[in-house]
Amino acid sequence: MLRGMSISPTGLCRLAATLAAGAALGACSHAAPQPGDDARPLQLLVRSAGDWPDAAAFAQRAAEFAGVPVRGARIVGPRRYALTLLCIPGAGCDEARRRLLGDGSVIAEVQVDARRALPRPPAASQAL
Amino acid sequence: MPTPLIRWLCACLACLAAWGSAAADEWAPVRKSPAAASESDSQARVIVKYRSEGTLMRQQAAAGDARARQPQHAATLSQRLGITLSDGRVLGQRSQVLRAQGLSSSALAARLANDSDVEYAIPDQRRHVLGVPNDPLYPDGQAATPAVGQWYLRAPASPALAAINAEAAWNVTAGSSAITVAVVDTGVRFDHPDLAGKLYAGHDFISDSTIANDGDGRDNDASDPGDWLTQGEKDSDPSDFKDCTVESSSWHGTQVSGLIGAATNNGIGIASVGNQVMILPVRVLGKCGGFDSDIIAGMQWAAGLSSDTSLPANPHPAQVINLSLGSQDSCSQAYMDVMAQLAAASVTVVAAAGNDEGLAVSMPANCPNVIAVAGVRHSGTKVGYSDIGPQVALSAPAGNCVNLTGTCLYPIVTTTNSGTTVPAANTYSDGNSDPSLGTSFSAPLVSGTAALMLSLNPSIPPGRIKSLLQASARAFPTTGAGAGTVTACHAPNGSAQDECYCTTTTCGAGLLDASAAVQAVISAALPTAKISASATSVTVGGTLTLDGSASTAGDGTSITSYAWSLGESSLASFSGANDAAKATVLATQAGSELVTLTVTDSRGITASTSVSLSIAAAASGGAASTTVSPVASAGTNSGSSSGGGGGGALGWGWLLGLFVAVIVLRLQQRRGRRRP
Repeated sequence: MLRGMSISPTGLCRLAATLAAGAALGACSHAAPQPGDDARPLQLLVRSAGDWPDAAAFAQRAAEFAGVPVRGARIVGPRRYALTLLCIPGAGCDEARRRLLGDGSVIAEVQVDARRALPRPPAASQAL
Repeated sequence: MPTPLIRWLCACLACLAAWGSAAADEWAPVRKSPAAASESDSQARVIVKYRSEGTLMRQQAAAGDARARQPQHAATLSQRLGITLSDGRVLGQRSQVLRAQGLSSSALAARLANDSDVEYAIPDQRRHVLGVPNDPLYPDGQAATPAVGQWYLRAPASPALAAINAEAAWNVTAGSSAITVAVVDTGVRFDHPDLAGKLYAGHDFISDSTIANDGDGRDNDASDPGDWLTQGEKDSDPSDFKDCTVESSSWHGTQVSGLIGAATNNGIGIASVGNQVMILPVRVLGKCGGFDSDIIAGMQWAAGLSSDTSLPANPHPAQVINLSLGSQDSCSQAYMDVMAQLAAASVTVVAAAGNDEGLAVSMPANCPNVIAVAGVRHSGTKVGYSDIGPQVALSAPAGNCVNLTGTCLYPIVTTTNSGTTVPAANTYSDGNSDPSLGTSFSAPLVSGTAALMLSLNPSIPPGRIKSLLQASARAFPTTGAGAGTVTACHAPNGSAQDECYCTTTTCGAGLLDASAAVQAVISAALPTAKISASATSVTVGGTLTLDGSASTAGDGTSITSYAWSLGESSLASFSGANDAAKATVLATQAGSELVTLTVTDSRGITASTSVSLSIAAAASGGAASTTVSPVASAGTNSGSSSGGGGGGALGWGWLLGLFVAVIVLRLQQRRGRRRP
């Protein structure tokens, strides 16, 4: 009865490999970076080297690169995204930015998403 | 010989011809009343210009009495066309008005245009002087401050030499509601009565709800809830407001919008430069500004280029984007990319130079593909607070007070709101407690002018808009500064630089002139003919090659044909083809021979110019020599031909003439309408 259901050695190897791969993927997902208590948001403007199906997919890959959580990913323009890294200010964020850029093959450019303001109102002495 | 004024008038009519003939395409330049169309349905009036080499002109030239030498050919053409025509006013040696009953001007023009004697025929449309707008805050002599009203829109006149001449521009075009200017700013007060009917819905791009101050992130509501910041907010939220200034609401986007597109001639408040153009409010700045990511996304959406599928489609993509925002920084790659993308999509971007008292031009005004605008005082000198530098394209009034305290004499007047935090009454800025001062307000004057230019020809690319604005700008004054020692502006060096005499390397090409800018669009649409010669002299029996390849087509057109012709002296002949860019002339006898080149562009508009071949008789047995000299061609075409150089680019004199001719023509029309 069980002969038909028997697993050949080759099949067993395949099953084992599949299970191992699944375990590895699970381990990866469990290894997603978590924010530390001292982490603060760092808003970045990032250009990808290639096309991505959506901002969420790109953000997931960016988090893997940066090694810190990424939130609030938005499309800004063609291959350009706004991302917020949760990182420890100073060396922690600098290191996360460096890791995010990597060798430039996936993320081509990283810059701070800078704050702009209205031109400051002129002083009376400058408006004569 | 026609007087210069008649020549100007002919040139003016030629421009009207260009406008009229192109109207079927995409031009929609001059305001016409709805009544004009119905009038022409049954009473045709057509301006006709006859071909110089045609039968009618030859008959006219051979006529005995002076009256018969006028272009009055209704009778002949009536027979040919089977339409009862009557002669109208003579417009030039080869131009006249023809009238007919029972058909439209367009239909008659089409019939006449097919006649071999007719160079062109275009409807003689009724135009209307727009005159001074009836907006109560516009004129000089206000009881309230500023007494000078909207001084910056009127014709330049001492002491307000920096005024942008918008009133004269409106006599050419009052702008088109098909042109949209995006105001990428703090949003707008939709309930301001002077913006009623002038605003599209827009979008709010502020992602951070704290900065947005409207309870959420991005949404479809581009209204400005106020951008005030209290000390308490700053203290309690250092992550958002650490480096911010405690201030009242600015209503900045409402102010900028009013300058570009406030309802004009509506008997309410102010007039706007753009007059009839529409405004697309794109909200990117809230409490203490906004982020690059939102500004860039907003710009792309404004132009209809957004790649974010989560955003609603923009049903009214802008042709012009105004950026009265920025900070001292270099242009980042992200901004360079979006500016290049917008330029490729033929979207003109205008940005304020900044208010850092003479420092380098702010970002994004310092980016490539941006028209950076510096601010000048009413007298035309750089206003103290304006930033300057080589990136500045041109300058425009930004508002100045003259007085250190008390009434501000020359502020910008625009739409605003009286609320210091949340919105209160919709009002106007003034010369008392609420003057509008800053390069934030010089940029919209340029944006509005660009919108007027695009109203005449929507296909002008941004680079051309910039070059036409610069070419038409007025020279900076070199005298007339305020009190104290004022020197020429120098390149920014990191130190403050207050009022100074603008130079072309610090404040751009000159002072914005809206009227000259729209005239430049018209001129640029016309072809020019130009002849250059291979040599200045040849011997009799020798040849001379004349080259017309430097002739230029009007914007958006190409030259479709060249036609060379000789005068009646029979002292020379063509050696080869006379319908190519180059022609070779064989000198056969001593004397003077006229050679004319006529170019035609793809709209069918022609331009001509001539050179005189002066073939001197040689000494006995010696060779004669031929010299070539240009001839000022007179009223030759529907294009242009400046004197001396033979059809070069239109000069100031021509433009001035055009302007005078337009005024004369319209005054005549008005007088004509008044008479029974």
